[in-house]
Amino acid sequence: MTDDDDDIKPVKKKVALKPKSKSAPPRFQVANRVVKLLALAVGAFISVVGWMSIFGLLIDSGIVRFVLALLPTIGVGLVIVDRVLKRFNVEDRGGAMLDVYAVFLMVQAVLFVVLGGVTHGAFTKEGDHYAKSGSRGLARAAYLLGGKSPSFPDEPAGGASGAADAGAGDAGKAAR
Amino acid sequence: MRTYGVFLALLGMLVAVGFLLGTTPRDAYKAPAEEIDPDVDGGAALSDARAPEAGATAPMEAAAPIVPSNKLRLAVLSWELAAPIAGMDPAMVEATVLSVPQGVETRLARGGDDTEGADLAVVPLAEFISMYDRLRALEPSVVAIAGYSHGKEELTAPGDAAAPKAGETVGTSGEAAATMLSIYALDFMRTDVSKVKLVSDPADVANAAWVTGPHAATKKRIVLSSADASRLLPAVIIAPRRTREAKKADLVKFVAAWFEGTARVRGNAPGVAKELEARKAPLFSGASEKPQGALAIVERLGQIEWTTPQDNTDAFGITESKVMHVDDLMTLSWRLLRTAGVIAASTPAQLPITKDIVAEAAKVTPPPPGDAPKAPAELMDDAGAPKGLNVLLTRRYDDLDEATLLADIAQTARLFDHGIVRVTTRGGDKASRTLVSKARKESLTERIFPGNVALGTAAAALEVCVAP
Repeated sequence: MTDDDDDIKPVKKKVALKPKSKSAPPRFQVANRVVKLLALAVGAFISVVGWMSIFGLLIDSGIVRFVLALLPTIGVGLVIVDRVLKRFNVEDRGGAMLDVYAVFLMVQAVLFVVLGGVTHGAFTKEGDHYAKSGSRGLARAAYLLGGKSPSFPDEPAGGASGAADAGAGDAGKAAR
Repeated sequence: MRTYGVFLALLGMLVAVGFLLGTTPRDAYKAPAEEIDPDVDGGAALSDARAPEAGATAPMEAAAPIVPSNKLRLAVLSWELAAPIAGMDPAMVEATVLSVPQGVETRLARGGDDTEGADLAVVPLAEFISMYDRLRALEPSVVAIAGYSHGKEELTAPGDAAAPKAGETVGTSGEAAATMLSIYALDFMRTDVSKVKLVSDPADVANAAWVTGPHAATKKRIVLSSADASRLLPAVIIAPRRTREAKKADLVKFVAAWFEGTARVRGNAPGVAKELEARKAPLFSGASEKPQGALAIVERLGQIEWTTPQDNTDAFGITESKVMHVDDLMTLSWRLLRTAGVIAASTPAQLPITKDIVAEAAKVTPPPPGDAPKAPAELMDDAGAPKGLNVLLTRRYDDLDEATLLADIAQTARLFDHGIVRVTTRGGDKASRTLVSKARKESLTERIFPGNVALGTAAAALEVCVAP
C-alpha cells in the first residue's frame, strides 16, 4: 500500500439531512414524545417476550432466555442505529437515535403479532413458563400474544383480566 | 419532515398492534398451576409446614401466603353434612360432596389450588382418624366440630345375645363411625376389642350376632345408637396446615358461615333439603355425587345434632365447661380404633387439633337461639331417683379403684349427655351414694345416681341408662 493508493480510495459521502426549517408546534411535540415512549415500551416488551418465546422452545431457564432475548432487541438495535447515524449526517443525534430505535422495536413487535400463526405456539409455551413461575401478569400477556384466553387453576374459568397487569414483581419472578 | 414521518409510522404501527391483538379470536386455555420452588418464597413456607417438630398450634406469622385465593374448595363426606353450606356465598366456597372417604382423601391430597382438590373437608371424626396416617404429610387438623351424629349409627344384636367374647365376630358396614360405636360399646362391656373379629363382607355380616351399621340396616334389637351416645361420634371440619396458614382468614370466615348455616338448617330443613337435591352450581361442583331425594335428606338431617359456636368453644376447651372435650374424644377414639386394629398408627404425641380458628370464628358469630337443656328433674320420680330407665350398657369392675371409677363416670356422663349413669359399689347403697356425690361434684352433672346391680364377684358396676 502506498500513499497514492490512499489518495485514490473512494470516500463515502455522507448525506446531510436537511435541518429543520422550523420547529414543530408544541402540541405535536408532546404527542410525538408520548407516541415515541409508548412505541419504545410496547415494542421493547413485545420484542423481548417474542424472542424469549422463540428461545423458550429450546431453553427452560428464564434468565438465559431473557439474556438471549436482549441480544436481538438491544444489541441488533444498537448496531442498526449506529449504521443509520453514520449513513446520514444528522444534527440531533439523540433524537434520531431514539426515532430509529423506536421504529426498529415496533417493526419487530408488528412482525411478532402479524406472524401469529407461526408464533402462537411459542407464545403459549412462554405463557406456560410464566404461569409455572407464578408470574400471572406476564403469563396473561404471553397468552394474549399467543391467541389464548387463559384460566388459572385457582380462579374461576374466564377470569382473564387482560395483559396490562404485568408488573415489576412479575418480571422478577419470571427471571427466576 | 423526519419527525412527522417517524411519528406517523410509530402511531400506525401502535394502532396496528392494538387492532390485531384486540380483534384476534382467542381460544380458552387452561394455564398450568404454579410450581413451588422449595428454595424460595412460598416454598419456604411449604418446607416449614413439613417440619416434623412443628406443632399444631405453631406460630402462624412466620409462614407467608403461597397462592392468594379467596375461595375455599371443600370436600364433604355425605350430602347431609353439606347442609349448612346450602346458604353460603358461592364466591366464598365451592363444595364437592362425595360418598367415599377415599374421594375426600384424594381431594385433600391435591390441595385447594387444583380444581379437583380441596382446601378442607367435613368428615366424621372416626373417618378422619382412619385417613390421618395417609394424609400425615399435609398435617391435617381438626379446626371445628360440625355436628354430632344423632341416631345414624346403630349397634344391634339378637335379644338374648351376650356381649361378644374374644374371637367372636362383629359385623360392620365398613363406615368408621359405625365401627367406632361398636368398639366403644364392646370396650365398655369389658370385651377385649383387640380379639374381636370385625367383618364387613355381607355373608359374614349376615352370620354375625352383633352388627353395627347405619340406622335400619338390620332388624335386630338396637343395643346402642349414636342418639344415645350423643357426643361420641362428631363430624369435624378438618384443614391441612397449608390452608390453616395461607388461607387462615378465609377459613375463619368459612367456619363462622358454617355456624350461621347450621342455624338456617334448623330453621328450614325441607328448604335446605330441596336446595341440596338441586345441587346448585357454582356452590356445589359438578363433581359432586348425585344426592338421594329430598325426603331421604330430610331424614338424614334429623340424624345430626348441629353445633353452635358455644358448643365448639366448650368442646375445644376455650371456654370452661364440663362437656366432652375434643382432645379427650380424639384420644379415646384413636385408642379404641388402634386397639381393634382398624388403624395402624397410634395416637400422635401432639393431637391434630387447632383451636384458634374456632375461637376467632366464635367471636364473629352471634349465638343462635338454642334449645334449653332438658332438666334432670324430668327424669326423676318423686323420691329423686331415676324412673323406668332402659339399661343400655353395663361395665363391671374387678377392683374398686375410686379414681378410675370417677374418671369413667365423668367420661360416660359426657358422652351420653341425655342419659343417666348409675353406679353400684361393693359397700352397699351408702358407699354408692358417697361415690355418686363425689362424681356429681367432679362432673358437674346431676345425671349420676346410685344403682342396684347384683355385683357377684365384681367390686363395682357402671350402667348407662336412657329414658324409655
